[in-house]
Amino acid sequence: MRASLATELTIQRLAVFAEFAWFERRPELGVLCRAARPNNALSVSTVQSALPGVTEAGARNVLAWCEMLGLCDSQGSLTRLGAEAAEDDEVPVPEQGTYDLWIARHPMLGCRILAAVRMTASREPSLDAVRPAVDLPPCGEVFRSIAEPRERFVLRKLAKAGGSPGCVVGNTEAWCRLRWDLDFDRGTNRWHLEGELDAPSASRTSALRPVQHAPESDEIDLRVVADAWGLGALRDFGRWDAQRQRLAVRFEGLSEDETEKFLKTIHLASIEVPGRGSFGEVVIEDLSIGPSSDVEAQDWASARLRRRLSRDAKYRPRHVLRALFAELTEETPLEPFAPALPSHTDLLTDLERADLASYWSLAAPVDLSPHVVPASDLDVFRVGADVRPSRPLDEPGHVRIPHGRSPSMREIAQLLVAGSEPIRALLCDRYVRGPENLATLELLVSSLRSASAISALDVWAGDKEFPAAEIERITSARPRRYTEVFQRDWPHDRYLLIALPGGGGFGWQMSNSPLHARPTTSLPTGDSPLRWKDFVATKLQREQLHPAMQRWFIEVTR
Amino acid sequence: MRAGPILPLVRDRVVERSGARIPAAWVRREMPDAPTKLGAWLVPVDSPITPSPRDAAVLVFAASGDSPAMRESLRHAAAGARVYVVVPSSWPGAGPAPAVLQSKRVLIRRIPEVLVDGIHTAGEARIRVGDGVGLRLDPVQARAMRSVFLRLFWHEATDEAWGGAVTPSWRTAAERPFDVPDVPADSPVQLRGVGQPLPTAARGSLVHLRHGEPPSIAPARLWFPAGPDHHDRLSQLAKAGAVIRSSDWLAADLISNSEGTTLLLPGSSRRLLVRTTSAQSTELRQALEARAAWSFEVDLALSGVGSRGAKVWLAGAADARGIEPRQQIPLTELDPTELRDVERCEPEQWPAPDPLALAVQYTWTVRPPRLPPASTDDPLVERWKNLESEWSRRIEAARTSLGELDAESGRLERALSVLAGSILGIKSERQRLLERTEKLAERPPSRLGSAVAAEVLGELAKVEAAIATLRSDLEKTDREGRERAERDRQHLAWQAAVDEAARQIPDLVHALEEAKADAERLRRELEAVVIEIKSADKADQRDLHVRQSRLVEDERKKTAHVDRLSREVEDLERRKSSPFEFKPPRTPVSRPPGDRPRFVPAASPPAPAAPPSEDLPRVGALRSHRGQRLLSITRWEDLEIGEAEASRLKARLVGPERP
Repeated sequence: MRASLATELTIQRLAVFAEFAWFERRPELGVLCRAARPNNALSVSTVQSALPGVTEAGARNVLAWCEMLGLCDSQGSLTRLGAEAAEDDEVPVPEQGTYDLWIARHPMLGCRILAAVRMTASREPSLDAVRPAVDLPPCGEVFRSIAEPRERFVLRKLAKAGGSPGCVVGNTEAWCRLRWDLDFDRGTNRWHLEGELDAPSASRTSALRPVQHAPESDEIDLRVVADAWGLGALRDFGRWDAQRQRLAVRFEGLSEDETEKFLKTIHLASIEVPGRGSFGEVVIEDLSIGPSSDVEAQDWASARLRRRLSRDAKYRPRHVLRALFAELTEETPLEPFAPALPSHTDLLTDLERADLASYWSLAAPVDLSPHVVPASDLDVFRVGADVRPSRPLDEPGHVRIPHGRSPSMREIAQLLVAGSEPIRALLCDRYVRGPENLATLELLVSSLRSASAISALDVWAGDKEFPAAEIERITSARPRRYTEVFQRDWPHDRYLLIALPGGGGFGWQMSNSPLHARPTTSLPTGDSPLRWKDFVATKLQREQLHPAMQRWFIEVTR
Repeated sequence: MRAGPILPLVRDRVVERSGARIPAAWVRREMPDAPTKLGAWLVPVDSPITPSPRDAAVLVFAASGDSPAMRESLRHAAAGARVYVVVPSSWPGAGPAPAVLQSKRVLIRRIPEVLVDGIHTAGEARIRVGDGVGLRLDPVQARAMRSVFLRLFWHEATDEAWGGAVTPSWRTAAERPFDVPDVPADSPVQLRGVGQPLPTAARGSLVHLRHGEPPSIAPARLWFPAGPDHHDRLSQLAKAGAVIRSSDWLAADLISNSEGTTLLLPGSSRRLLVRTTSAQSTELRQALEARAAWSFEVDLALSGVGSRGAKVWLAGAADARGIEPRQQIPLTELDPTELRDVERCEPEQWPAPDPLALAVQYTWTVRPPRLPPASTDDPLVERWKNLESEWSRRIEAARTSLGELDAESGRLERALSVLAGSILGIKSERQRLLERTEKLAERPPSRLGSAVAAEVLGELAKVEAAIATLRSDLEKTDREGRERAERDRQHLAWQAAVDEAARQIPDLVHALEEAKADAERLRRELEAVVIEIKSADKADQRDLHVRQSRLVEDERKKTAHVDRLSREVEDLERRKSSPFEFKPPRTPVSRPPGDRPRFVPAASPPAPAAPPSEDLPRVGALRSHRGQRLLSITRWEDLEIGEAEASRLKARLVGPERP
């Protein structure tokens, strides 16, 4: 979540008679301060070592001056000014006179002199206009001008008239706005001033110049701020979940972008920041949102699914649709509410009325599937539900890994070998690339080797990003590109071919790649449970396979 | 002997063929051509199927726009079933959107070729095997048919559309969601490439072929498309005992042998193979055994085929035809070289008649030899024309000369009466010559033949010479008359001059004497002044000198005057005493126009034209073409004379030029 706040500051222009100190470059004092660094203090000996030839009395005199300038205290310890002077050779040089000051007050910056200008004798105000000064900036604090950012000054002492400081209030059209950006996710914030001040030489206020303020940050606990807002200003938009730092909202009224990203942008006229006052022009961006109820979550999930189906109306078998629904809901704010993918029949009934393209994209792959689609696959599919399928992984001619099951690669390899004694195997998969897939390939190869006497696994893969050397290292066989073996007639599905002694063999047509299985542990082995997407492998006869695959059987048995 | 103008001649010949035989042919006799009875497996293709339940899948192969399966599928869609249809790429073609596109329950995909028209529902599967005939599939066949459908639907679709939209739009077929495995080789319904081996016929088998070549082994019964091809092979099979028929109702090839019955539906790239069950095979056999209209027969008597409405399809013929009572065969035109051969000219070869013709009539046209369009007059004709032209010119020149002599003699007669006698003689001679000229003009040489022509030409030369003599005489008479008149004129002029001189002489003499006296007086005065100058004083001398000068000038002028008068007197005296002298007038030298310069010797006058050695033909026109002499006649009546004249003139006798 990010927030952008702003508030207008009131600028006061005062003319005061005071003792001021302007920072000037004084290298000799910088030398003194640097000499004091080892002990973090100035002493007679330090001065004498830095300024050879100076007598002790002279050194004491120098120390007194440094104390007067504020570079050290009465004990000679370096002050913050002294430490800065050791860095940049700049020290505040006092003077006395009449000064024109621009002053702003806000909890974020206190009472701050924004700019100061020496007043000449001709421009000095009349004594009749002097009024008692109240709530003036603190003396001794270093201010940096936002009109001339190179200028720094210190208000050392205000002259008093009748026991209290006096001032002359001047006219000004200067204006300033404080803009504050808060990033709750990163835990950072920055604020700065923007606006215009009177030109220094202008007696009238018509001449203005832009301010130049380097951004500053504020020490504030942003989680406290978020909770305060969630329970306060954001109450009208939803229910604040302080634990997840998320706003539970109603699905109705959300934009497409908000439902897809689970983020919302809110504009408010004003908002209160604890301890920092009230701000206007409030924009809260990327506010994390989620459903407020199971019904809302179901509607939300359905909307996302339909939008995806409509945007990309490609044919989707039921297992692909289930995977898509899982992708759209799992690890999102919807998952805790366990939204359900409607049954195939119910979903088609809804889509037939609204979106024929999506209707046919789901109906045809089921109606015209070359293999029987289990009725359980067509039933309601619920994400996040703690219901594990209990049926076995293998059926006659099929190996199925339903959503939620986490079999190991060795377990699957044994099912795919199907009790035979293969002499060679071939994996046809477009996407044998990427470190995660290759890591799973290693698991598959080791599992096949442990489940059979196969020494090497042939791999035919898509041409894009074809890591031949890496695959060969894993499989002990030279991989081949799809273009080389299939030319332009690439298969859609993945296949695992098992060659048996004597020229026999069979193939598995797989709905998904076994390489998409992901380990749940950091150092997986063949026996480690894996997270699978819906996976269905169907056993085929050799003559039902692609001609190139049929040729492979002949080649490996020569 | 033919008469009249020489024109092309049309001739004919009729040959009777009722005893001819045909080696082999398809014969069609009018009778029903469709199976009269269907059974449990062969059913009417449009017989209804029990509608599928809601959401059931119905698969449709729609091979054409009027697919019965497509029509049937609409009933199922209306009942709530989901209908999946594959159609060929050309579907639906032009015209209004088909009704199937109105249904929301229909998904259509286009594939390059739909091999069969059929439907697959949960309860029944059926394919169309012939005109109006469908074959029901058993459950095993139906499952295999579904697999074939899935393979075509998912792997071969190019674009797709679904019904229900106001304006259905086709989109590129979306990617298939999975691979459909190939149908196993032992499947009862499968796709076969056209190049893959098919079941072969064996002796005793039953074969129905829609395309290709007849089997090499004679089956018991063969159905083969009637047509113009493969008659030799079919004849061999028929002679080997095969009963060969043709029937159009079955749209598939069929081979039924001891291994079973196989149907092969047509296709350009692949074919759908269906292995039938024994029950299906039995019904197919029964349907094929039904009588077919076409039969292939060998050694066929032409007279025996003439049953009413029978059609015969011969080898190589474009289509079947009935028996033709009389065939008209027009032959090419003949062009005999001799005019006399026109009546007896016939073609050297007679084209073979239509095997199905009971009689044949040949017709042809004989074109007589004709004068070529670019022929010109023969040189002999030219020579005769030139002679005739020269003859006419000379006759006309003689006439002109005689006319001029007549006019000239008349003029002289009027001008010089003294010549009247001579002119009278000339006129009479001219009249005689004119009469001879007119007689010659009535006898042009080209009509007389070359011998007589030479005589008349000689006579004409004589007349021309006489005319020339007569002209010379007239010119001489004219010249003498003119000289006499000139002498008289000159004498009159001489006499007048003498008389004028005698009249002027006295006056001139008197004037001469006066002039001489004045001259003498002046001479004396001058002498006196000269003397006076010598004695005069200076003042007078000046005046005397002036006077002396004036007298000198006057004396010089008077002396010149005296000399001129003296010469005039002498001249008149000489003229008065001169005799008469006749000066004949100068005869003008006339040169005939075109006369050459004197240094060019005159060419000898052209010899008088001699008549050609050959006479012109008596009939026709003598022409020449490319060096050949042609005698053209226009009527058959001139044929005899024309042949004789052509022989004499060594010319080829031809008819007139083509109009």
